[in-house]
Amino acid sequence: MARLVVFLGTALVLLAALATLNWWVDPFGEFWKPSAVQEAHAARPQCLVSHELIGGEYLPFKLDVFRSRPTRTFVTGSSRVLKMGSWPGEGTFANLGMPVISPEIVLKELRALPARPETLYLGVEAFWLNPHFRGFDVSPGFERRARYVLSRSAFDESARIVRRAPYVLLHRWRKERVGSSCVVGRSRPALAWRLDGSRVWSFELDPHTYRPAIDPFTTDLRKLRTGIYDDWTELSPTRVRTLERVLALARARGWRVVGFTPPDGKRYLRFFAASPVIGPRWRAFGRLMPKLFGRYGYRWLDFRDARSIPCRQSDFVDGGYHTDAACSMRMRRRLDAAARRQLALVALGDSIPAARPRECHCRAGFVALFARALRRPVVVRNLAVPGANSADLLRLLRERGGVHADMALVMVGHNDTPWIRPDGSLRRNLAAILDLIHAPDVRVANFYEDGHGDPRVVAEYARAICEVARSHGAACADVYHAFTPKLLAADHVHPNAEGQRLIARLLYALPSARKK
Amino acid sequence: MLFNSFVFLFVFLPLVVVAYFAIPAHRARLVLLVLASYVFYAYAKWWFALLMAASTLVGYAGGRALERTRSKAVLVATVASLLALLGAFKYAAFVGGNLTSFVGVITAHGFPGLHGFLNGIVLPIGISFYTFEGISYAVDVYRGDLEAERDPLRYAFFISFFPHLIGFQIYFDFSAYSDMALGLAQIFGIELPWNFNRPYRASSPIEFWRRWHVTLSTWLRDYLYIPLGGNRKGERRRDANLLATMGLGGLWHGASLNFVVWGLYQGVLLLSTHHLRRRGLRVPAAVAVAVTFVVVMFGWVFFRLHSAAAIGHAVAAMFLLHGLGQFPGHLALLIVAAIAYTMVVPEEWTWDVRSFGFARVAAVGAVLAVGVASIYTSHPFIYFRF
Repeated sequence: MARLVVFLGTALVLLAALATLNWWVDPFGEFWKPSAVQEAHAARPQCLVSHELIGGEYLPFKLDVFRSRPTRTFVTGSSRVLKMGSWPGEGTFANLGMPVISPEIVLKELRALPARPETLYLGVEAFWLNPHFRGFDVSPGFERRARYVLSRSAFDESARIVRRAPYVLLHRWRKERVGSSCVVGRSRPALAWRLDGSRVWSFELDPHTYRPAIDPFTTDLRKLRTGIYDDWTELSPTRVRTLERVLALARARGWRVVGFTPPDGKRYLRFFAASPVIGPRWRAFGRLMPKLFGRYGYRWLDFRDARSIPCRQSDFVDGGYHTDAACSMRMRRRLDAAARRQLALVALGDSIPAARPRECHCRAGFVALFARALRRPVVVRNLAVPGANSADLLRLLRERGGVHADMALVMVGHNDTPWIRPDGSLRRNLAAILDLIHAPDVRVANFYEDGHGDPRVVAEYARAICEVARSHGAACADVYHAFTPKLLAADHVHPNAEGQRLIARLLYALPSARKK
Repeated sequence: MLFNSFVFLFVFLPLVVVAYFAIPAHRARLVLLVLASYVFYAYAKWWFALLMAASTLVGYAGGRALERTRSKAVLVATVASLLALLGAFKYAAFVGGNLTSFVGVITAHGFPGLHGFLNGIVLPIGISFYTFEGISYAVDVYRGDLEAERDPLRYAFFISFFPHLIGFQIYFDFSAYSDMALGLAQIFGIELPWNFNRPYRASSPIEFWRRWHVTLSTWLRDYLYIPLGGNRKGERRRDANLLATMGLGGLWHGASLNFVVWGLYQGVLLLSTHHLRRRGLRVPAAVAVAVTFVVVMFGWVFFRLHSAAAIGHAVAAMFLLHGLGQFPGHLALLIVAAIAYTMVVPEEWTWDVRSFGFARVAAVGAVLAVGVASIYTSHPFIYFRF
């Protein structure tokens, strides 16, 4: 028994020591180190974070990037979007791209983000639709981590790092200077991440540091770009469905989305067009994407030919796969412009803007009719809650921290009538609601007499709503005076289809009012 | 679940061993081992365990019926039922695939639906092993060499005992895996037969098959070669029996033509040896070992490579048709060590660990730690390329 204890004890002690060293040094970056990123944030000026510390932990790092800044616009996609960064002074942009990402990982990433209004630039790669392409596993399980900390290969690398930088035994990282920049890392920051999630090569910070070799062009599909086009026989229906789920999620979250595909160098373009394996799929991808994004009301920018951005062949750092920062930012400018053309419309209120078909007997409520009348790409977020009164709506907005949009439609108050006096809570609530709406164009509609309450109270409410709206710089549609009993649905509470059309017309006819 | 996976080493095995020694009752231990074995098989896919349960049921019922009736029809039915499971899961894709290729050559269409269906068939772990166990049991009961097992639990244990499962095909992997199986079985007080006995010391293909994968070659001899007539019906019949046995033995290794070719090649080696011996050929032992080693090595080309093109390329390279190539200098030490290990280490090399001092025990523990650390290799996912 004593021998068994010594035998197993020796093995366990050695394995525990091995695991501890590998976990502490973490030579391949398999463990997320938020304190390293916090140290980079805390530094003045802020530091970059070396890739040595991020390693394969892209997902937690990118989610941290998103959460640690007031993100309003973000890009996600493959390594080819990683040079897209913030404009000077811009603090609301985040780059959530990852190398070897796939639609499944994009979906996972977007699901982990909060549902606040954002603008998403979605870089879609043609090779994602190759069924044989596999994305990087961003969620290593316990067994993979156990294999890692108990592996001799990780130990060999840990020992190499400790020999090169003995301080690692006490401090897992430190601030280092690469060129004129500060990088939180250790010994060999070959590439680093800015705190907006964009990527920087060390040779861009200091020309004397490591510069990756360029993969030579090849027509061998097993070798071309690590084989991501090999054996591509069809546009994977599963991947297309996943992309659709991504877009449906974005629409449900009320995000403004612009899709694009990053460009390829001339030589690659020629090869893709001529290749009997890639060519048909490449062209089918080009046809499918605008339709797919269009189906969800989103725009698609086809950047496959770099000249459309415009970028030159010399803007590719590796001959035709990854673009440099200047070209990437030109891409971003095009995406910003496309996003601006896409209007974000938010609707707030009760069951009237919610327009459930069984109540209005209509196919589209006034919010949808209004959006259609604008005759431009609109992303509609209808946050109306049937049965909500002004207090409920105010609570909703406070929980969400307000709403951001290009345009807001508000119709609330109908459910306040039995309980609240017009010069009391409704006024206060509506004023607070309008304060929480961050949109340059806010349009409010008062409500109509449906024959159920005291007509004088309804008239007072209608007047009060418009007074509060105008005092807050919002335009007000006087539905109260335009509405007739014929426009009521069978339940004598909600507007029928014609009534919904009237409200849409009244709101549309209002002059754009800039909210203060 | 592989014996050298972390989930087996750090979760499954410790739990089973601790539970086994915590339970004093023999029957309860048997229940534990059967349950553990089913968990082991079901770990990859839950229905693998159901399949093994079905095979167990057929074997058990067949054995009981055979004991009562000694009927050849019952034996045939039992063996056919067991083989049907194996055939459906292991060989249907092979037969169907070749059939669709054949029809495809004639009609230029084949059976696309059948092809897709067959490609979807998954090979259950260990199905060959427990099927062959069931067959040998049924045959032994029929012959009267064995009494039928009345206790279904004991029979289930005989079929399912998880250290039986062997899945590797490359010598050092396979041999070491077999050794792990022996050790695992011994933990539970079961002695499994040795499966490898320094096969590359063999001085003839006949001796090679007495040293290589001994459990399989014994099974093939007892339940295939001898029932076919063995060497009792003349030289020609013996040669035919050898070829048939080895061809089927090859097919047992995998449902692919290259395994059949490998088996037939081994059969040719065996019958050639018989004929050369009959003609009185005698060579020095060292030469015989070297020649056996070379012809066996040549056979591995058919075993390892599946396509005719790849086999042709490898054979051409072995005959230097692609040039002399470069000697793998970095492997020289390893090659010398492997030869030394195979040739110099005595046939019986056993240690009595009870005589070890604590330092030596700790050193063996350190070897275990190094072994565990060498199971997996981690690669950095560092995107240092553009």
